[in-house]
Amino acid sequence: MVREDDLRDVFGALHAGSDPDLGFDVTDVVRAGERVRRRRRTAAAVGSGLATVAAVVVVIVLLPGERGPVPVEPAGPDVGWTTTTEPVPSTTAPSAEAPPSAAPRDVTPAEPHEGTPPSAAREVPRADPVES
Amino acid sequence: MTDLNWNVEFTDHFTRSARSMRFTAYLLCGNWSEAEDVVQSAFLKLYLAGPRVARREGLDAYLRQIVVRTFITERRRVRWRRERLVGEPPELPEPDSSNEVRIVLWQALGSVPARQRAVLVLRYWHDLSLEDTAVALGCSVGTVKSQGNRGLATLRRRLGPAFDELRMEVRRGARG
Repeated sequence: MVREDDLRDVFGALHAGSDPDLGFDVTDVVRAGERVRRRRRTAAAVGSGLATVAAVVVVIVLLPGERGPVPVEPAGPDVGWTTTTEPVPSTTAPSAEAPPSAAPRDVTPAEPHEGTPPSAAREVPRADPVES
Repeated sequence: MTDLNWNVEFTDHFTRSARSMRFTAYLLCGNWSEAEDVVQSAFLKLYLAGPRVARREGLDAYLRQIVVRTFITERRRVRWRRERLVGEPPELPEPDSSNEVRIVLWQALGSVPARQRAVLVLRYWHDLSLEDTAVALGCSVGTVKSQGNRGLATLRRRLGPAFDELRMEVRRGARG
């Protein structure tokens, strides 16, 4: 049965065994670290330089070159407003059974002609029946 | 903090903790050469990150975290290699009376998967709490519990009832 305490004892016992000298020292680590940092700095400088060059190339390609400004043509004569002459549809269709003499109810009477008094316009000659 | 101040602090910290960190890496890796590689890599990362590390009192915990994570990353990478090429011959066994027992123990520890072994080392060698172990490994508390239980079960399976005898042998060998 392997218990946790037993395992701790085993690790401790193994720790008490032989322990060879370290094969490297802090100078090796620092030197390697400086080398890595230098490499990273160089890579960053090269990368940013390449990015700058790429950005400049993109700007040069996308901007208009020697074409110059587009000539503006003079405006033509003023044609004014155009109106449509389509007939306005009436709100109610005339009844087919209505007598031709009968005026439709919804149609407003025409305005009298100029110079005619309103009362004269409304006057209708009355024909009284003659009683025989 | 300027670079000069950081260099002084780093040197001081290295002098204080390099050997103990290497032993932690040794418990994780199982051999001194790999442990040195892991610790050197961890100190290099600490040196590069140092000026940006805000909490100075947490340097030990931060370094331990780097060691454990570097070890796990290396193991994940090593899994895809069939063999490792080294410049020197492998370590020779020590002429010690408890050498055989140690080898058995190391083999048992070596059979525990890397992440489970990291949990065992952090919990039972560094006496970290479940929460601190989870922070060091970058996982949840539940994962730490399950990984620790599996690691102990693997050791139990490998060592069996002879574990107590082995433990006493190792202790006697360490004293002698």
